[in-house]
Amino acid sequence: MKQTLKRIILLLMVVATSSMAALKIEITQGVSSAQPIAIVPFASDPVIGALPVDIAQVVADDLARSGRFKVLSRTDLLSRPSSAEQVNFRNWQVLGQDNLVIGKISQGLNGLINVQFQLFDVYKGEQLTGFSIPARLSDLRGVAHRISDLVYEKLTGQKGAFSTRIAYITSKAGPNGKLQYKIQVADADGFGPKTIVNSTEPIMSPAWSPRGDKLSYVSFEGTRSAIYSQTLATGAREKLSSFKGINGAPSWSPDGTQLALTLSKDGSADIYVYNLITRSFRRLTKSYAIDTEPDWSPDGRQIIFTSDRGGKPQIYRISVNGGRAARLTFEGSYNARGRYAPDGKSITMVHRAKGQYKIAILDLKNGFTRVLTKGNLDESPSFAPNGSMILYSTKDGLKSILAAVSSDGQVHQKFRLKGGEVREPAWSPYKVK
Amino acid sequence: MASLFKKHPVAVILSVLFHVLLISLFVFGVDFFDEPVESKPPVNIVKATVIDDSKVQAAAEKFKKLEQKKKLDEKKRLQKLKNERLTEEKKLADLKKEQLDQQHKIENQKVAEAARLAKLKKQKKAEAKKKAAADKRKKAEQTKKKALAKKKKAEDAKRKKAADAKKRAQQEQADAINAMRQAAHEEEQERLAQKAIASFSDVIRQKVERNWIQPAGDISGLSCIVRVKLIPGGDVADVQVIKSSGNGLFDRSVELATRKASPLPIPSDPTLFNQFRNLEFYFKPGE
Repeated sequence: MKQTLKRIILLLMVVATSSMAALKIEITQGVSSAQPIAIVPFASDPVIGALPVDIAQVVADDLARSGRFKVLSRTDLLSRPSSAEQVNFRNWQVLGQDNLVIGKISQGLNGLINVQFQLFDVYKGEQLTGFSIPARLSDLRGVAHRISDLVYEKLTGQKGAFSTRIAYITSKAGPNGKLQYKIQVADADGFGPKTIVNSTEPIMSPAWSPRGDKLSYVSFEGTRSAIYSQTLATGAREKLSSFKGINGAPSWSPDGTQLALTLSKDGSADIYVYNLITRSFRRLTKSYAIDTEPDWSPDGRQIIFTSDRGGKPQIYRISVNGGRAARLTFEGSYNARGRYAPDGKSITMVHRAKGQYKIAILDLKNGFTRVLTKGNLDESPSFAPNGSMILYSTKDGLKSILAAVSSDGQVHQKFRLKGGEVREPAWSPYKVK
Repeated sequence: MASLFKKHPVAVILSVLFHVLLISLFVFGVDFFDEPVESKPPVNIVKATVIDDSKVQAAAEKFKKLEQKKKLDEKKRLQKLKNERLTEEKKLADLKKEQLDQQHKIENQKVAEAARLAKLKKQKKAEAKKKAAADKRKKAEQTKKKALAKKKKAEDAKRKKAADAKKRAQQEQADAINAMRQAAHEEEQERLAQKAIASFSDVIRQKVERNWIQPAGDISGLSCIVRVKLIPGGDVADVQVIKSSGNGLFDRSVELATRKASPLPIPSDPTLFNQFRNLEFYFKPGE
């Protein structure tokens, strides 16, 4: 009797409380899929006429390439609003969109045009961000990348890297049958490549200075290899190192005052540090094995490099002040060409698995290696400055091409670039304003 | 004699006095007895004048004889007196004896009386005792009777009570069974309701989870609570962040997830739906 009564009371309480308080539901899982976003073609003022660049398309491609966004196909657009009043958010919700970008281009002052865009939260019906950017007609791609950066940062919390550039080496047989080697610099999406260096001798290992104003590289012009540093804006270059033997794999220190490089002037290939101010070299490693492909940690205190001192190529880490090198990679018999992620928490590298060379990420915290790519001869990985993507070279048939993979391994993209074989990409740092 | 006097002073004095009187009667008794004769001689003298010698002889003889006779008589009388005295003495002794006897008798009587009294007293006492015992017995019996009655009454009451209790228990049991049935019914209803709630909660959770695009980067340790108001049909009418994660993008992803999951699958039963009018989603990404 008592028990029953108690139970009834309890039940009543349960009913009472449940009818009063909100039902609580715990959500512990989500999807790590891309955010849906609709990017409506920007309306253009009739007086301007047809534009040379489809800004909305550039933005759409940028965002899609990042792996973080799922862009609504243009053919699925039900309406093409260009101002907030024209937006029916309900329609965009029905289309499954979380975010909406609209924009319009109008005549500005001094021959410039104004590119105005707005980013909306479709479910709240609120504007998340919006800018009006004055621009030259010739720089519409740049404007588009800036819009991509702004949208990306607003929606992911990370700085966008769409306004950055990539450098890479191309080689193609010239009219005389001889191979022509070039260093080219293009927008991050591969558009607008410009030749920086042109040589009939092999060129290797382009490396960006931290400010993105210079490129260092290895050239075999002349009789031996030499390391050069070239200012992009002027084309002026200087030879930094041309010792007997190997002069290779330059890597800038984060403060831009030093270069780590590989020299074999004292015997076997070792890592040296060249001081750009004092113009002096300092030997960092001293082993009978080959130590090469140095890369500076983002905090500037350590250098990783590839060494076969253990018999097989593996990645080691050493303090910039020297001392004992510690081996970082233990998974697989080949790990090489390491590059720090911008946050310094992981490195990307070439990892051989089952006889195939793939791009992988090594988590420096837990030591786990995660393979990102599916090729069999993937090389030269390079992080985007925001760490969201990795650029690398891969084989498309027999041809070397560039490809990018989102750092979570979800989105893969190949770059269709002209210029023959394309290898050794290097993603630039953020553009210094 | 002294002890006798001491023992019976009155009797002794009386006895002495009585003896003195008797002796004085002996001494002075003649006078006492002759007094009527002396008054008669003057009449006899006048006739004695005619005297004859023979006659005097005869008279003398006669006198002598008279004297003798008198003497004998005296002797007889004395004897008689003596006898009488002896008799008297005897009588006295007897009397005394009688008296003593009487006294003894009295004393005996007294003793007897005392004994009788004592006996009586004892008897009385015994009787009283007997009576008391009887009373006591009676009383005990009464008490016993009373107790018995009381016991009977108590037993009756107890029996009645037991019967009542049994009846009540039966009633209670019946009530309890009914209540239990009712409770079971309610419980079943509640259980079904809870089951339905749990089931719908689960489906809602799944739908929200499918719609939750977690922000890229490290979100471990972040959590966010949103309150979601539903309208019949399950459409999300309002989403309110009631506990921010401190990370705007995370909060937005959470808010978006709940809005995008609209309409949420809710029970068609309006009573059950009431449970879903206000939902609280606790977004806490697992490892």
